[in-house]
Amino acid sequence: MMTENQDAQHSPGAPATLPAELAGQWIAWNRDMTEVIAHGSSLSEVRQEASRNSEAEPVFQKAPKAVSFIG
Amino acid sequence: MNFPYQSAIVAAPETGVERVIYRPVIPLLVCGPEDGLLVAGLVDTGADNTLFPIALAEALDIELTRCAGPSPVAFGGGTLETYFGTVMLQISDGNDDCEWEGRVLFHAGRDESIILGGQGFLEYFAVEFDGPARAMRLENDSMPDFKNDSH
Repeated sequence: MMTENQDAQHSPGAPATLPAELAGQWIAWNRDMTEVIAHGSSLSEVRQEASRNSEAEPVFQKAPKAVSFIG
Repeated sequence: MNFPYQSAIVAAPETGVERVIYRPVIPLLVCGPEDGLLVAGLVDTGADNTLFPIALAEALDIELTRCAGPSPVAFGGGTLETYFGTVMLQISDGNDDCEWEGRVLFHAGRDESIILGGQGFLEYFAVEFDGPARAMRLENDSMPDFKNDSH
């Protein structure tokens, strides 16, 4: 697939780019949302996985499909 | 409170070419009777309600009531099976924070989206979306009844 403007421009403190390869999965980020610490198919699974990580305040996100969202 | 947008790589609808887009996605603490979880939700002025996936209610033991009214309609005409519940919500940008109790919807949609819309979220804030700066500002100073821990 062709790609244009692939590099996200991050302002200070901005979250990391949502990983396209994790589209459709639940993700656990670190508190600043700069690093994925766990991912999987269900919230309960990812919550359990994240609890084994040293991150005290994981942020959970269901990654949308890697297409435009209109809502 | 200031929140930078989250970037994502999507396939452009016109060409399929991947490109970087930026969305106003912010972390939000959702609290049930015993526990709370931080989740990332999309701030969406086009949504009349705030919606969370049912999986979150299950994770936090939030009591839900099946909505008796007509199902909310999503863009494109699809409908959502929804339930409602009351939760404590909190946001923080690391400098200021605020919390409130809100009636929100929980949906059974397969995409499990978290949408921060009118009822339960936007009704409490003045919001400034800054597209060029890829950042959003939320202010709640004009809410006298609002529980506000800003300092």
